Amino acid sequence: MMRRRGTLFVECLIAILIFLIGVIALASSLAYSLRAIVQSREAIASDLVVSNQTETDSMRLALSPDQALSATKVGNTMTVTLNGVNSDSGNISFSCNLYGYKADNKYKTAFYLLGRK
Amino acid sequence: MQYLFFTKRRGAALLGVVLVSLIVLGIFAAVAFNIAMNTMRVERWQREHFEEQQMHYLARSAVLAVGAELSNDVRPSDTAAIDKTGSLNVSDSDRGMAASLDFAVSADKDSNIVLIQVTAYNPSSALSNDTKAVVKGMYSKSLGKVTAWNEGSGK
Repeated sequence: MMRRRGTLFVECLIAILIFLIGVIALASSLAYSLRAIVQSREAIASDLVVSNQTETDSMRLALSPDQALSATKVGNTMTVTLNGVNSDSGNISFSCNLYGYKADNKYKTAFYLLGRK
Repeated sequence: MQYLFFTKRRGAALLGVVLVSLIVLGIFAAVAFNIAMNTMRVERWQREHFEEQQMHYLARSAVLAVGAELSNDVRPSDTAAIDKTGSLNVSDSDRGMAASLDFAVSADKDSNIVLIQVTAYNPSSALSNDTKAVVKGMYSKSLGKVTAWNEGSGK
């Protein structure tokens, strides 16, 4: 059978092309994985910061429920009304604010505390 | 092998080598992709955990707010039974957070302890619809503050 000159060269080119496609796919997969892991690490770090702030203020509230909180107020003042049921006919009503502890990561993590006004 | 390298179809050997390389590369890519998928799964678990934590903080602070209000409204000499319920919806449009808080305050007749229970949940959660935080606080009429806690998950 006659073999045309340059056939091997074309085969090599095709082989290199296929190999390159594989390498590019692998590289992009690895890059995606690494980016996801780095973003996750950053998100966890900033989540922990706001979690600590919220925990600290939560503890302060437990010690003294009416003290001012360090976070920013979210929305308007709300009124909680607890209505008496069964034999209890009295109501309890009080105003409170929502305080937000927010992280600027990709998940926009935020924790909230209710503070009595 | 000898057939591949020393016959006129030498290109077949090259293609064979490339195909084997491609399979090896594919395995590596699959491993990398698997790592990425696992990372995303862990992140999802983390999101659910933080949503649960978010509800716990809200419920805990709500119990404290009710306790602080009881210190104004309920005196140690009050002996009547207490049985009150209420609810509050809170939201933060900036972060897309919405939560519902259900309050239940109860005390037996002549009891020094008032039980405050707050259940916080996100009714529109995209992660898990049944994530609830249930926080109970024991308010002491004589001490005028919440003295004991019990936190749980309604999941």
